[in-house]
Amino acid sequence: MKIVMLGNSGAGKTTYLALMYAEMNQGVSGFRVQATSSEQHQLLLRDAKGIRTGVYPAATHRRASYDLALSYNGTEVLPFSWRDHRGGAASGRTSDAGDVAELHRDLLDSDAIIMFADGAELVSSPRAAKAFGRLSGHVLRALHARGQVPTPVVIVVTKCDLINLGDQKVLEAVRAPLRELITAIRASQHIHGTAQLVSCGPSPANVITPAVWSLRWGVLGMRARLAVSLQQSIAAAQAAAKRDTLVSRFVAAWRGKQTWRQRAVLHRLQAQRAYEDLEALIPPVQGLDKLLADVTSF
Amino acid sequence: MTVPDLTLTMLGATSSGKTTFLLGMYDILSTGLHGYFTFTEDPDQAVDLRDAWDLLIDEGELPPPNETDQSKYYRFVFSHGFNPLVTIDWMDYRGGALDDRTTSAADVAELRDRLNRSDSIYLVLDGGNLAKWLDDPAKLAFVQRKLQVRAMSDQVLRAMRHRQEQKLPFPSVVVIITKADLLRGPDRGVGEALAQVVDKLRDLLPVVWAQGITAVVCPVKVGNFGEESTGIVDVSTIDPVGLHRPMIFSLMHYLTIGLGGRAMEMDQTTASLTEVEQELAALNRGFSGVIHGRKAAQLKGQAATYTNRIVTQQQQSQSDQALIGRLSEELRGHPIIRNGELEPEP
Repeated sequence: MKIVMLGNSGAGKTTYLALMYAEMNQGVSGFRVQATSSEQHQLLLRDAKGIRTGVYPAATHRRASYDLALSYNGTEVLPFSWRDHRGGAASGRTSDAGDVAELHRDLLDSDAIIMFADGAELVSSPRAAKAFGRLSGHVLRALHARGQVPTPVVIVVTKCDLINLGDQKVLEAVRAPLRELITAIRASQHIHGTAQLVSCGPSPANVITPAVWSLRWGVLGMRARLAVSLQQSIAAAQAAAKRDTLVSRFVAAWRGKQTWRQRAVLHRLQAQRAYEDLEALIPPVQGLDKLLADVTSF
Repeated sequence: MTVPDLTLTMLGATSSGKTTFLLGMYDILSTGLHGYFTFTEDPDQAVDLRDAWDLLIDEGELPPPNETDQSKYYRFVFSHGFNPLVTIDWMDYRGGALDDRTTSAADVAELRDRLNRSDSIYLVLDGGNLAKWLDDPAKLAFVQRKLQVRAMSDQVLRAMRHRQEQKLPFPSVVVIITKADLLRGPDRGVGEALAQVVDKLRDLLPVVWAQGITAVVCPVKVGNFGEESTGIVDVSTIDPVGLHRPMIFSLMHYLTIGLGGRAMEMDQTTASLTEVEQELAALNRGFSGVIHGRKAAQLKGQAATYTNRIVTQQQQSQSDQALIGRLSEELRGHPIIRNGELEPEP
């Protein structure tokens, strides 16, 4: 699974990633996220520690790709990569910098897109609202090019600790720039969305939901693929068993090839493995559903 | 579902506001308006359009006339949410190119070829010049010259002739009145001025009233810039209005023409189905059906294919009709001229 973060400069993508990782690495309701590389693990934890003391990570200068894995009760469930692009890549020309084209390519084959909007900026600057709106173009372009592929899109409003969401005017200033995109996602059959208000300061809030919500779609996708694989293996095993005759066994032996009976056994084994993998996904799916029970999706 | 591809050409005199209209339209639609979105197929073109627009809203700098520049091509996707409605091949023709004295033969040939292929033609009229005509009707010839009405009309008529010869539908025409704020006069508001323009449009732009043409008049504005239509404007007066409607009309007209074609296809399919059913009925009389079992099965298969095709065509037609209905909502109150008649308000 590939998760791509999309946001303008200063929206808090790198900060979010570090805090999400630190929290998920501690373990949440049996789920844990672990970096494959110890170097990346250390880097993310160090950044998170800094943020908690008010020292924020430097702006990302080029694309960073993190190889992570989600586990449930100690068993790995889903390996995934997390792409953190330079904020300027979302507003640059492909001819100016290589990472702009990389961002477009990543969006094209992403399994989940997490869009970032700076909440404090949305409230104080109409330009920020416009800049967020323009990100829609990237998402629309990428999803148009790949057709009706089911894709989760999370809209993360960061820096919510810096604004008074109890004030209706402030809340409307945050909501208004997201409205067109949310309406579009809601009307779509194949795009799934959620909007999350998060704080990524010294006292982080709601940082795990965007990641866990995206990962749930990854796990569900894996479950769907396994179910298809199971059905295909069963069908192949049945078809092979039907063709298994005494004559076909002699012919196979004569030609030194596998008999249809052997092939049927092989397919049954594959089906068995797919079934076991599918069974193993039931507890994490239930766990994710429970963890996200209160999250509103559209 | 295949997304239709629409060819669109925008004509207008130098400094009529073509490029500013395009920039404003893209800015509005790139972030979504009433559920409609537009994005460029090439992400770099989006950056070009955005940068030029930002220069206007930050510095008040209007885009320079394309006088010496090349005409500009864009590929847009126009969608309703994530549902692509049409891809648009857009050409912003440089204003000076309408003037034969400054145009090379190659440019003229290119424009003609382009117009021959166009599904929709935008004729851009500067509201400031129209106001002069409203102030003094005797200035009609002067204003027509300023707006290059004759050159634009000639191009449209030539394209119509070509398409008629090729048995192709005529392009839709959108009369875009830019700088609509300038229509306001000492004794008239913008609304009143627009009504006057539409009322007298037959004198100004007779081509719009030609038989077979469907046209809409779309007043648009990017801001209340006053007479300062070139150079630097006051950014606090930027107030875009109506910039998305020309594209809405182009698509609506394209789909409406498609409906006619689809109805003909459906009639043909229904006729073929009836023929097959009659043949099948004749075959099933007496023992003939038993004797010609294979032929009967073949005909049944054909009938099923035709039936499925009719269902698909009906679904597509219903979906297009629903979309046309939604699009027409956006154009409520805009005068539509069809076959030389002003359509009454629904």
